[in-house]
Amino acid sequence: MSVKLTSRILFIFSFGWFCKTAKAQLGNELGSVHGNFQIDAAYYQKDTIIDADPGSELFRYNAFGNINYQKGGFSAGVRYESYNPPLLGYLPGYKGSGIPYRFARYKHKDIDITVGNFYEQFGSGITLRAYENRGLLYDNALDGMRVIFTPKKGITLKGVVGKQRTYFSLSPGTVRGLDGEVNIMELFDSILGKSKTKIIIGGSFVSKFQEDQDPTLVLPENVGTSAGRFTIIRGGFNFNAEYAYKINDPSYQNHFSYKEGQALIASTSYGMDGFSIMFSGKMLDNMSFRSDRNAQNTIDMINYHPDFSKFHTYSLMAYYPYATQPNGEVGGTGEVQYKFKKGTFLGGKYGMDITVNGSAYYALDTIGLDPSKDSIRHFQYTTNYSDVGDKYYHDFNIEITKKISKKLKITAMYANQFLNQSIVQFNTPDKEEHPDITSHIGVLDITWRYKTGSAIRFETQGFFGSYDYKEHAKDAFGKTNITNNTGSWVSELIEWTPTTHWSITVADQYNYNNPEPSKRVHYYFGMLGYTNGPTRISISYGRQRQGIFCAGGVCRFVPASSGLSLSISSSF
Amino acid sequence: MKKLLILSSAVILSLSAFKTSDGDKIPSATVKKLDGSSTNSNTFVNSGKPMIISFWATWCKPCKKELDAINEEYAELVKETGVKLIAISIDDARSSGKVVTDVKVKGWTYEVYIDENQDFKRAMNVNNVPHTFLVDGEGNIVWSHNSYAEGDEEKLFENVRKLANGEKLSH
Amino acid sequence: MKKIFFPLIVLIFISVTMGSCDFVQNANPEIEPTFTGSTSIVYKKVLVEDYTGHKCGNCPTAADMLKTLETQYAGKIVPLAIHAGFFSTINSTTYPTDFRTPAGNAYDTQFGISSVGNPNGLINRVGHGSGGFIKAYSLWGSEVAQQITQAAKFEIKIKNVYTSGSANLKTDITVKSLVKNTGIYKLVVLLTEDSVIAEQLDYRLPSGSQLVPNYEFNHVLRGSINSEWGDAIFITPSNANDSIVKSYPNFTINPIFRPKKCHVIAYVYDADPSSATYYEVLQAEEAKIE
Repeated sequence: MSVKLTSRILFIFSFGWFCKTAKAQLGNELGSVHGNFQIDAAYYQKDTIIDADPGSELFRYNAFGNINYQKGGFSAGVRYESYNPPLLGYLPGYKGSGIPYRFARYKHKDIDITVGNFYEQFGSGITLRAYENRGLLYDNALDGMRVIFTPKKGITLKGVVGKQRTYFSLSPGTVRGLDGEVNIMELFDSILGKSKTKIIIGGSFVSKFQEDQDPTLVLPENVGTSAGRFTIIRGGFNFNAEYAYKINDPSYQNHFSYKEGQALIASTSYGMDGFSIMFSGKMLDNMSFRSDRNAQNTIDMINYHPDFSKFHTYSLMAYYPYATQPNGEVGGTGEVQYKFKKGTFLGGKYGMDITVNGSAYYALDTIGLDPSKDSIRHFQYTTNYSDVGDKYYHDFNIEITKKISKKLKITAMYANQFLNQSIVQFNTPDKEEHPDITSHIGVLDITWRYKTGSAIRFETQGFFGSYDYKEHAKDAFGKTNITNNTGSWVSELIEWTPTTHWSITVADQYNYNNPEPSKRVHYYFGMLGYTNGPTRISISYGRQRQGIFCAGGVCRFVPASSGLSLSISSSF
Repeated sequence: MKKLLILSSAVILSLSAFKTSDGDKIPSATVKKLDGSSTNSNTFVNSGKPMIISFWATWCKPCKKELDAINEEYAELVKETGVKLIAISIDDARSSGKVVTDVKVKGWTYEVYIDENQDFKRAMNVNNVPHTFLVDGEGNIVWSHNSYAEGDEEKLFENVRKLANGEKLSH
Repeated sequence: MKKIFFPLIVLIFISVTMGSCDFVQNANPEIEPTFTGSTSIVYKKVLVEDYTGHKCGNCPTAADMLKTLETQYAGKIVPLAIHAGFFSTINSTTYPTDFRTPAGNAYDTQFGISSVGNPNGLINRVGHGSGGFIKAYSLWGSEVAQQITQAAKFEIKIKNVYTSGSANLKTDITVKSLVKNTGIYKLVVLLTEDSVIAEQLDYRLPSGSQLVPNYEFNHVLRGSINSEWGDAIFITPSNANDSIVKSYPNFTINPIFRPKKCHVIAYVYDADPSSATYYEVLQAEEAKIE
């Protein structure tokens, strides 16, 4: 390991240790210093059986450390990050080290000012969401200034201006935004304060500026988007809706179409003791909005298109995930939860939970303008809102959780999924290479707490896919090219927690039914984890199959890998 | 391989420096109540009794397991120690609509807030959920724990009882 | 005071931002004269690499962009189309033509193009250190416009002698140092072919007819004449007007390639790993082999 690398890693620790010592000396009058850090490192190996080729850089890591200071209404912080190079499957552009995040914030009575980096969301995020997810290495923090003003209880005004983080530098575009929200019941507290119905209305306007340096097109340098939203809450009932409009915004993602964008998002739910029902629907038409019109992947996204489909945690349920299609989609998700009470026939001694969830998403029905007739090159198309286009995805699933005895708990789950893989994940209509996939997936998860603080968990999963493909493609070497048709899978997992500090996991995923017999391999995996208070350390060894990873409406390919991993996270 | 060994030894050496610091107050951040109104985290109080602050999300299985496990003993624990659990959901717009339905169905009687912009999560230095904190009667954060393993709630109950009796905690 | 001050700022802010929405009526720009510069200075010729694939339905848009730039910056750019990665894999029925080369695969891996997707490009391979080698096709125009105004450090001259009987290509590359150059430099010599007719997916066409059987591929990388990362030149620091000749006397042209459509591309790049401009192409040139 190079001296440079060692010193970078040690830097995080030593700095943290310094702050810890400093804090002990400072005492409470001088404010408090806190922080956290996480390191994920891997030593990869070449594994020809699963086509895992890490290239020449075998040691890779993702690391970050936060240090925050707070005294009264003042706070400030920095984050050091280092990826040399980042783990396989993360954007290679993150390679490097630095301090991409630092801020100072002051809150006093009705005013809250931040300079430096900040995260922010207006409404559901359809006009603006500066967000981080460190696990996905998704970070589009704004670097600039934010003012939050609360002139009166119930009224919040926010103003932001800044540039978005782009790896270790900033986006070429500038983002300016304004948001106002009024909580009507809070505002007229004296008259309506006792009202059980709560109404909140809000509106936002966000604009970006990026210079037009393109010699071949006249590009809009200022692009604005605005939205209005409405929420009503009464007891267990909740309804909210948001509509957004965006002016012409030709970009790499929308293939330089000058069409306007529109979005409608609505969600309603009702919950009571033991029962709930929820429905969310949305329509997006050309709503990709980035501070750099040339950006790709998850870089420089200003807004967010919530994906309401079920967030699966069992690996085979999430094998073919859906990703929001910001260029155009329409669909919805519904969910019903019911709890059979203790003492009823199905509930038994401890009760039983059942969740039924369904989603379906479709393309918009669009008609393109013939490019030869488009002399002013607007790359226009029209959308027929009364119909839908091809189906993108569906997922119907049912999950039952039942506690049999004080020691034994069982979860069973079934899902039926469909994915238009070629469009959703690969952005190509090539069905031969990327067939539509219909799958049945089953999961059984059993937890046995054999004594206080000790448990064993068994998890068994099966994925039975049918692939609508015509033939297997063969490449120049006569090798069958069926990366996206992997047949069926089974997965087994045993997790043993002998004490609450330690856990041992052994798992295997077996591609027993791959159409290519040489690819019927086991993806074994073992992990040892240790937790003490806020600190968690784990060491794992095994194979990771290739897959598609979707975040922020964009999918990226994660190559197969094999090797030893170390993960540490803590806070202080 | 050697790099990994050096890294892990560096880490283990350094870890001795990191332990939960005692005696800090709850930092200030804006979170949303389930009725849509905003409140500041530094107003969390329980009139001299201990508080549990638990970060969770609707998509996080271990989080819900932990909150369910606590819920089974919660009524009894409240009676005994006067403790209050504050559940902070870090769900974003994708799933924040499910927070209220999950809470209702599960029959949790906790005080629930949504930290949609994750300001409170950052202020409390939470990396991953579940992450649970204990706050003593004077409002000092005295203990924290990351992740959930079956049986972790027993340790939490024990610590809550100790706090209620005015004893010091150890990890 | 503050109570008035803040809403005032907000109002100004709204009026400024609202007023600045650009609605475009006609996307065609007025043609501006391109950069000519001074006749006494040798400027950079820009290596424009288009990473593409026959299965990439958005790639013809990028290829058209390259064509536009060739007209707009005639004689100032050296175009190179590299077929590598996922979108270039072949199958026996729809995409039987294999355009991949070991050199193209090596560049694709080195610059991480496949992990980002196609179409994408490199403009003179600028971007070391900032993590920004890869440029979307919509950026090519502005990047090229910037590069061509820079004075070159080297001048390259290519002399090709092709013997059709033996299909032998002899190429002599003369590199002249125009200023005092003290870094580490390498010379790469490649072969490209124009007007190759084969299948290409094109999303701009109506569905059902998106597979174009007779698409014309230009500037297709056919292989390296020396090696993908090249030969070291000016091993000792060079003064202005020092020049060297690298001769590659025996390169056999694959009989499938049509010599009349082939070009030799030569470029010099910064090969010093500690340099801030590592991999950057400092000068490029192309010449027909016949």
